[in-house]
Amino acid sequence: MPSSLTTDVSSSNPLLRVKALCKHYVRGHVWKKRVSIQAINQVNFEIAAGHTLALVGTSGSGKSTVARCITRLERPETGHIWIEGTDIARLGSQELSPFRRSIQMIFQDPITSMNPRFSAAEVIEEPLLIQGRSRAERREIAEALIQDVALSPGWLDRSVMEFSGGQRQRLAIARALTLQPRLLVLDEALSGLDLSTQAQIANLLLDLQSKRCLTYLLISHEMGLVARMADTVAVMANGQIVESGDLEQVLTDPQHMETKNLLASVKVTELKLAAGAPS
Amino acid sequence: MNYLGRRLIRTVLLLVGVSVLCFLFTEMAPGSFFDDMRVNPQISPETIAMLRSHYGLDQPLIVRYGRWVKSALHADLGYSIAYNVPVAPLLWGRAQNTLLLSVTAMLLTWLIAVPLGVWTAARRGKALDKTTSIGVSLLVAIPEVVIAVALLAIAVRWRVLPIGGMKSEDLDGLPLWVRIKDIAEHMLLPVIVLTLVDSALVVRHVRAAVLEILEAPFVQATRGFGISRSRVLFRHVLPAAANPAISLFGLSLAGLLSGSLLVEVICGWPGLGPLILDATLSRDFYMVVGGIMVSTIFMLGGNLIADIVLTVIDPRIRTGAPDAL
Repeated sequence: MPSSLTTDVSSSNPLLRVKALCKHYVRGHVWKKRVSIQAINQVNFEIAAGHTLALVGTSGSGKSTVARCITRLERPETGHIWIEGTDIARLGSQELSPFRRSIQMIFQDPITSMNPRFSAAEVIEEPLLIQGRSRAERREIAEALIQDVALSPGWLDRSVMEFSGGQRQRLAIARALTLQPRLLVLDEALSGLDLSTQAQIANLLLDLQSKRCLTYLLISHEMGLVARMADTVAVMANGQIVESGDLEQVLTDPQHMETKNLLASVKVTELKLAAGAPS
Repeated sequence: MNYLGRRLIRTVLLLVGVSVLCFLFTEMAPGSFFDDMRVNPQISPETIAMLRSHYGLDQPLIVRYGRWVKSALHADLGYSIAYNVPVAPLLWGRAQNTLLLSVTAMLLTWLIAVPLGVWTAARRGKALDKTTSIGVSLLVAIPEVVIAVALLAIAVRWRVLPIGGMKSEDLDGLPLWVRIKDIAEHMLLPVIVLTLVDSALVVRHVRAAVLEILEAPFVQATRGFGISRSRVLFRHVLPAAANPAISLFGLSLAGLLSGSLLVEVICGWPGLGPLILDATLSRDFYMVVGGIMVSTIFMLGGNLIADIVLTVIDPRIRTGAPDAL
């Protein structure tokens, strides 16, 4: 085992545990001084298997950078990302390969998040190619998955361009489920959809979570959606987590100004309704 | 009506529009072929009037245009006053030389520039990318005339290549491969100039297109599955980046006749360049119009071919999807 692989000995044994995560970007130009921007700084949180943590905050607070580091689309400078006990923060692309399937991400824009030249079947089946599955096996899995996200198997051969925004997001969920991940990172995945479609996809995600024991990292700035889906909440501001706790605790007794500002934009009754609590 | 049908109609309309403007502007340009004759006291004004009448230049512009269109439909582009021969065969002979030069340069350009553009994009910010960027910027900034003259000066100083013309004079009776080698040596200098200048542009476009696609969310999503870098590049990035490259390829095809005119004049290559330059300077009316029209046909044909290729490889253009790149 490479020296970079370390094992988490936490007694609670969460599915994902993030500790002291830091990432900065350098911006500059030929004629301008290079400036270092700290996107996230000392971020710590953990998610228990089968639960949903909502990472909330305003634009530019660092939520998406956390998502990109956890899915290792970005390499963090310092810190640890333990997934099922293995620290993947510093792994090279070869060592990372077996862990990729455990964490999948669903992007905000369902239109640009899949190759417009592909059919629905090609989109869903592509992750299976790296496993060397046969054509028949891939088709069988794709048919099952497209039904899981409430789309017709008869649409598998349609071009992805023929699907609406909501249908494409369902396809994106089916594609993410292909590799049977343990953790789904939902990076503003429901933000671009109309309210009715958003509610349908949120229901679908909750159903899939209970059926497949999925763990979600929900990245959002919409508190109504957070109230509906999350078990715990972490609030980000300026690249750091400024408040975290159980959903009810954060909603009913916000401590930090950032949390209060986020909640001020939504009526409390709406939050209670979304969370299923009596108004 | 389908996409290609609409493009075809637009191409024909453009051809008509260019021919009208070409006639109009050539007529509006000051002077005529017979101006030099007017200052010669040995040629009477009656003789000049007779010559103008002989070539039909005394007729109103609209009448001349109508006659020209009628004959052009039968591949007759009029009569050259300076060379005293029909324009079409003369243009075709020179166009073959130009095509030999520009097709060779175009093939070399795309063979070098596409892999280099993809390679530099995939290694953004590395030494190779930075070195190529500096080279490309220099080549884009320096006019092709300067590059051509500089290489010409080097070739003359070191006597490494034959200068001017298309072939040596004493080749009759020699084997075919000796004659081919001789032509290749003569065309090397203009081909290098054209390839350098065109490659800079293509490398820059291909690199930009590939970089844009590498940042696209669907490529990021694919990386998240752990799919190999080469599959991401060849299955996702290159087909998506092909659209702007194919449009540029259409422009390359379009510029096959007109793109090398200046370099031909500087390097002394007997193509359309020197012919059109001479025709313009001597106001050889139908030769100028014919030269411009042949270049225009190539330009519109190149664009049409690029459109057809784009339609075949990208289903979004066939269906008129709003998110077609």
